[in-house]
Amino acid sequence: MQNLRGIVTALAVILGLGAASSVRAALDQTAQKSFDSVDVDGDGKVSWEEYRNRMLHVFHQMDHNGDGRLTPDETPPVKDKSGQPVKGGTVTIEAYTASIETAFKKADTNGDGALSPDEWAGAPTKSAK
Amino acid sequence: MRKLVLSSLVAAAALATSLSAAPVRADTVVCESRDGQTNHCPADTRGGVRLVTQYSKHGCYQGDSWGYDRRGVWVSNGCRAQFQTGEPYSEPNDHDHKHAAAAAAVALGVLGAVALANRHHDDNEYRYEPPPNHDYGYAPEQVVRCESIDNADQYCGARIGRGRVEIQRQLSRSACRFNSSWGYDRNGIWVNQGCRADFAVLR
Repeated sequence: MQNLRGIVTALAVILGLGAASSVRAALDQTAQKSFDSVDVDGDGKVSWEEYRNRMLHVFHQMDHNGDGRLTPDETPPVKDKSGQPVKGGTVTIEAYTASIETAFKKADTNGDGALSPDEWAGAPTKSAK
Repeated sequence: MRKLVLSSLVAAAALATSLSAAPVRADTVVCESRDGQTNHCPADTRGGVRLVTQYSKHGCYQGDSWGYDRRGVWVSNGCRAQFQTGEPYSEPNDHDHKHAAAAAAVALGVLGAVALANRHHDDNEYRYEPPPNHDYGYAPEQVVRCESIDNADQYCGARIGRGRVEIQRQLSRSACRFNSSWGYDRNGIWVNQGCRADFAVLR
């Protein structure tokens, strides 16, 4: 009887691990897909220029009236760390560019000027350890 | 005597160096490609050129749709941007960081760099939760693969109409440069000189 319980527990653990790793694989696939859509020259790295162009594409999609600024009514819902909605202010393209440049530099943990798939997905890299 | 000649030579060389290294004035120039045409904007490029702010929705990729030569900066395929020449650019620090960072978080979320966006969230930044029917993202209307095999000219028919075309993903090692090794008209995309790529048709 105890053996049976042990087997059931072991099975549950294995199934649990399997489920966790399949979720992990799915996440990796999503991250890889989004990485590939940004890596325009297909060299396996996302350069600042590739990053900027895709991020600006989204900016212009949000900027419905095309005046080069995001006004509060054009900004989709965002929450801060405590889960409170952030009421949008006006964002110029210059401020947006400065902000995405900061995000890029932060993500580029080894400082080589380009994001590897790991850096893109926010995974800790060897050099960061 | 020999020593004198040598030192004169050194002095002359130093003078030539100091003359050629005349200070390069820092400046910015906004250059715009209208109707996809190539535009050249005169600038002092001796100290290098850096793209500071891209204004256009149309892509600005160095070597493809922007670049510079000794006479100035050029742009094409709808690229419009501000360029910095000369001295290194230092970031102005008067932006509204809070809202800009929130907008950047949205863009990161939209592009699917979810973990990256979340990690920034841990760093006390912002989090974007896509609404069920969000309509943002990088979604070309059509993707056309066009390949110049053995450097041959190739034309790939596609319904471009009044849309615009950008490189979605370059497949070749040979460079794809707009109006040089690839281009398009209303009815399709052409490539040559070994340029192979998936092209995105955007409206």
